[in-house]
Parts: sequence; C-alpha cells; structure tokens
Amino acid sequence: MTGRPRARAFGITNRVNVAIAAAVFIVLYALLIAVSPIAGSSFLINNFVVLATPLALAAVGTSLVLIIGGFDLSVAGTISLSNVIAATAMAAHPGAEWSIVILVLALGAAVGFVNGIFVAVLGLPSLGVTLSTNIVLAGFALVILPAPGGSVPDDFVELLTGTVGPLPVAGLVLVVVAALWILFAKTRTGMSVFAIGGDPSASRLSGIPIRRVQVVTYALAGLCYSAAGLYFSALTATGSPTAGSSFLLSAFAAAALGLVSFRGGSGSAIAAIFGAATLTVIPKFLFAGGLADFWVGAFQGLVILLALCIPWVSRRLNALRRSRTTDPVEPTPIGPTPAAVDDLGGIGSTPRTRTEQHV
Amino acid sequence: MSESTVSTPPSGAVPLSTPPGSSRRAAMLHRVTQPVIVWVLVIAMIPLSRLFSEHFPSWSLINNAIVLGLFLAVVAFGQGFVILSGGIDLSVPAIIAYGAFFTGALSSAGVPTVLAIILSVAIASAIGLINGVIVARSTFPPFIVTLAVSTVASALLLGISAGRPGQTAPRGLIALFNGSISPAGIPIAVVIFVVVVAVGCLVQFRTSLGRRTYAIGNSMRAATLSGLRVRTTTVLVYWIAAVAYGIAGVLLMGYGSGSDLNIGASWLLPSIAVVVVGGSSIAGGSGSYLSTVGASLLLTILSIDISAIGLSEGVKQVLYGVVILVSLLLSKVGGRRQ
Repeated sequence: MTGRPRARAFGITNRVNVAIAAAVFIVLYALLIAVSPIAGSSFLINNFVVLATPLALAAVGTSLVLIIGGFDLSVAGTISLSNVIAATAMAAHPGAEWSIVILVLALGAAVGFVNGIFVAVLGLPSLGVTLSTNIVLAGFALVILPAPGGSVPDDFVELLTGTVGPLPVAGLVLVVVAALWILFAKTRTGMSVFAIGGDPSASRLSGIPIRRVQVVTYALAGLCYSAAGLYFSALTATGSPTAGSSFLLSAFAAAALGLVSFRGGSGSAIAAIFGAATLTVIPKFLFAGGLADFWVGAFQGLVILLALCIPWVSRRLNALRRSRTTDPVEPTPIGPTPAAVDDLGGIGSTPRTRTEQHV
Repeated sequence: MSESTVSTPPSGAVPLSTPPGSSRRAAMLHRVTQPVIVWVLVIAMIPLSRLFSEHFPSWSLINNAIVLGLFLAVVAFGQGFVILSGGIDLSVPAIIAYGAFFTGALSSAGVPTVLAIILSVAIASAIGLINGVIVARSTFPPFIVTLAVSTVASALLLGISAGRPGQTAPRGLIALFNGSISPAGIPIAVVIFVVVVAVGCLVQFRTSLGRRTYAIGNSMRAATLSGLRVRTTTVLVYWIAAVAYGIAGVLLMGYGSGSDLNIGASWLLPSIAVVVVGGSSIAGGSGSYLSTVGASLLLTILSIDISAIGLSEGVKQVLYGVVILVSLLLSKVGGRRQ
C-alpha cells in the first residue's frame, strides 16, 4: 500500500548513488589525464573501456545477487570456465565462434540457475553453495585446460575490442547493459528483487514468488559472469584456468564502490559499472608513478579495503542524519530492537535474514 | 550467563516454548553422534581404499594419512573456529606463507630455531588480528575482509621476500618429519597429531572463549543482549585461527624441508571442505572439532586414493566442491529431521 513513496525514495537513493559513483570515476580519470595527458587520447580511452568491461560485467552480476540479499562467489569459477571454453573451443572450431558465444552464455545462465535452485528451493546458504560451485567450476576449467593456452580468432577480438565510428564497442555494450538494467528494475521481477533483499519475510507475506525471483536473479548473474568471461577472452586473446580468480575480490569491491548494499535491498548495477571503472583507473596512477609491481598489488588491496568501508561509512552518516532529523528513538544498530526480539524468538529469522557481521 | 546460551542450537530452529533442558540434550546428542559417524567413515575408508589401488590398505597409507592429515587438522582448527563464530576465513594461504617464510628467513639469519618459530607464528598471527579487528569493527562480510587483507599481506610478503625463490627449513624442524625422532617407537608426527587434537578440543569445548564463540555463532544479537563482549571474542577468534595457520606453515616448512610463497595455496579449499564435511554448520554456531579432525583424515585418505589412480588436480578440485555441496545438503536434511 505504502509502496509508492518508498519505491520513489529507493529510486532517488539509487540515482544519487549512480551520480556519486560516476563523479568519483570522472574526477579520477580527469586527474589521470592531468598527470599523463596521453590518457585523454581516443585510442587510450577505448583501451581503458575495453579493459574495464569484464570487471564491469562481473560487478553487474555480483550486484544483482547482493541486492537480493545473497553472496555469489561463483563469479571467479564461471569466468575461468567461460574463458577456457572460449579459448579451446574457438581454437578447435574456427568459424563457429558465435555459436560458441551463445553456448558459453547459456552455460553461465545454467550455472546461475543451479545456484538459484540450491539457494532458493533447497534453502542452503548462498555463500556455501556458491563457494562450492565456484570450486567445481574452477576444477572443470583446470580439467579442460591444465595450463594457460588456446586462442580466440582475430575477428572475435577485433569486434569486441574495436570501435564503431568513434565509439568503443565495449562502451556500447556497457550502455546496453545499463539500459537493460533500468528496464529490468521496472519489471515486476526487478522490483521483487529489491523487495526480497530488503525484507524477505514481508515479501513472502505479500505474495511475491520468492523462489522463482531468486532463481531468475542467480541465472541472470551467471549470464553476466559468462559475458565477462567472454570479454576477458577477447581482451587477453588466450585462455587460462585461473583467469577468474582475481575477479572474486574486485567484483565485490566494484559493487562496494558503486554503493551497492551488502545487506540487500538497495543498489544499482549502473553504479557498480562506474565502480568497476574506478577500480580499473587506480592502478594506472601507480604505473604512471613508476611503482614496482608488488606495491601496486598491495595498494590495490588497500583501495579495495577502503572501498569496502564505503557502505559502512555511508550507513553511519545516514544513521547520524536520521537521528538528527527524525525522532530520537530511532533504533540504534545494537540494542533490544523489535528485530532483535524476532531474532531471539525465531519468528523473523528466515534462512535469508542476515545479522550484522554474518555471512 | 554464557552457560545457558552455549548449548542451545541455532535460535531460528528452536521455538522459545521448548524447555531448555531438552534442547540442550538434543544438542549434546548431536555433538556426540556427529563425530561417531565421521570416525566410523574414517575407519571404513581404510579397507575401502583397496578399491583404488592393490597396494592399499597399508601401514604407509595410514602413516601418510596421519602426517598429511595433521596439517589439514591444524589449518581446519582455525577455519573451523572462524566458521563456528559465523564467519569464514579466506586468508589461510597468505598466513601459512608468512609462518613458513619467516621461520626460514629468521633461522637462516642465525636466530635459534625455537625462537624463530615463535616469532614467525607471532608475525603470521598479526594478520589474523587485523582480520579480526576489521570484521569486528565494521559490518562487511568476513569472506571479503579476509580476502582483501590477505591480498595486501601476500603482496607485502612478495615485496619483503623480493622474489627470493625459497627458504630452507632449519634442521631441527626437518627432523620432525623424516622419521629420525620417534619416542617409544611412535612417529613424532603422531604425537603432534594427538597434542593438536587435545589442545583443539580443549580450546573449543572447555575455554570461555570456545563457549563464547558458539554463542556468537548461534545468534550475534542474543550474544550481544546477554552481555557478551562480541567484538573482543571476534578479534580473538580470528587471531587464534591465524596462530593455527602460522603453526601449519611452520610444520609444512619442516615437512617440505623448505618453502616458497605458494606453500599455503592448496590448503584453503580443503580447510573449508573438512569443516563442512565434519558436520559444522557453515552459518556458524554448531560443530565439533573432533568431527573436523575425523573429516581431515577422511579427506586426506580420499585424496591419497585419488592420487593413486592418477586423477588430475582439476578432478580433485571438482570432487572437493561436490563433497562440500553434498555435505551442506546432508546437514540441511539432518537439521530438518531434528
């Protein structure tokens, strides 16, 4: 009944998040151009967009699952497997690359579907399920291609990493994904994703088909990961059984930089795309500064830790603002709130409810 | 106060109307039956390994299972403790590498072996302290905190070691595993194994920290409301886990007579697998180290068997994943029946 104003409030926060994530990225890229003006050339901008695209696609999938209130660790395994299949199958069957693309995308969706079944229908914790599917997928990738190798055809690489007129294809792909996200968020399923992430038991009571929406969400996330894997294949033009392992941390960090809530219920895939772009631009500064390789690694880890602090800081700020503007008996994070009583009595503790600091 | 919260199973599963006594008895029963099932499987697994190779079962299989199972049991103690508290620790490989690297580096710099071991376990456990503080102070999920911290830690270790290829273990440490020390005919690895199991069980079942860990794993809110120092407990849990990984790093260094920076890489997945196979809840709050130890032996024997028939690393990994998934399903079914 009171969905309208709340939904609008949600929409506004999400739009603000997109604006913040975009502003951070634009400022950083402008700084990069100031440091090394060549980064402003159209060639390097195109390069940059291509470089950021796999992570951006992965972060879209990660955000989808975060918004519905789960964690999807299968991102790494799915990217590795997609990369390995693309590199071996395209090398073995020249000319069939587009059917292989469709096959890989279908495989990604199938992986997500299986995750969704385990989580939604069998009621297992998403972290445990996706951790094990991640292990299984990484294992399959190792079986298919025990050592880095394989190749993808040149026309596949050129199409995905090239330009249409002045515009990079990768940029167009991201714009399409962003547009699809806006459409998806307006569909019944899309709105249900936010509702389930925000309050699973209320969603169940209001008749949302929770299981179906969860399965669809995990399947869409899997689709995003396999698309990321395909883009990564075009980027590197080869296959590696551990291609995806670095994406596990960075996809979550990109979502955090995009201010996607780690407790479900709010976030925007578009902001996550900008988060991925921000994560991609940071190492460029370090390389421009001429730092040794391992320090770049350490610094990236630190940046990710800082990015992870963002949801926490913004929640603190929100709580502070709310306690100033509204009534002073606002429930504090720790203390005997009605939710705490629910948790004790087991009334409100569905398998999907997350308590603070818990996975 | 913590006494009463300790042995109640996850709050979601038990309505408030259940008399505390019966739920406590059910929990006790669960805590006893779980290890029994796992250990029966371990004993059954020894003759069954005949199916994989005609040289099995043999004394060397059992000996190898105990030595390799020892490392897994030490690592899994830490992982199990973190999982019990409701978290998960992905920084295992980095911390093992720290323990191994500094033992080698310090002892080759002339520090006496025992002091070198103590110092390197202390250095390695500092990473756990950082994990614990961030997990306790912030509200983001442990898997990502530990992953991020370990990324920074491994990059730093790479910087510190400056790419030096490997470290050689001090002689005293190598002697632990090459069979030269065997008091009363018992290999020293077996003695260490027994000590580890005893200390592990003691910490988990008999210390206040162990009880508090069960409590915060069951329900963070209930633990907070009943006045437990949740943050201190969380920090201690991650620190103790890191001490365990650091010790595992030292032991692995002795076993392999040296180390490189990837020494810990292959221990993360098995550590999670054995905790789950041992019947601990991946969401925290229930589990027993005795079952985890049994599961360590079970998975070690299984992986020796798999290696004996010559399956690749990839297949092994697929099996690990499937094993975790199946145990999750089984524990779900078991939980429902309860």
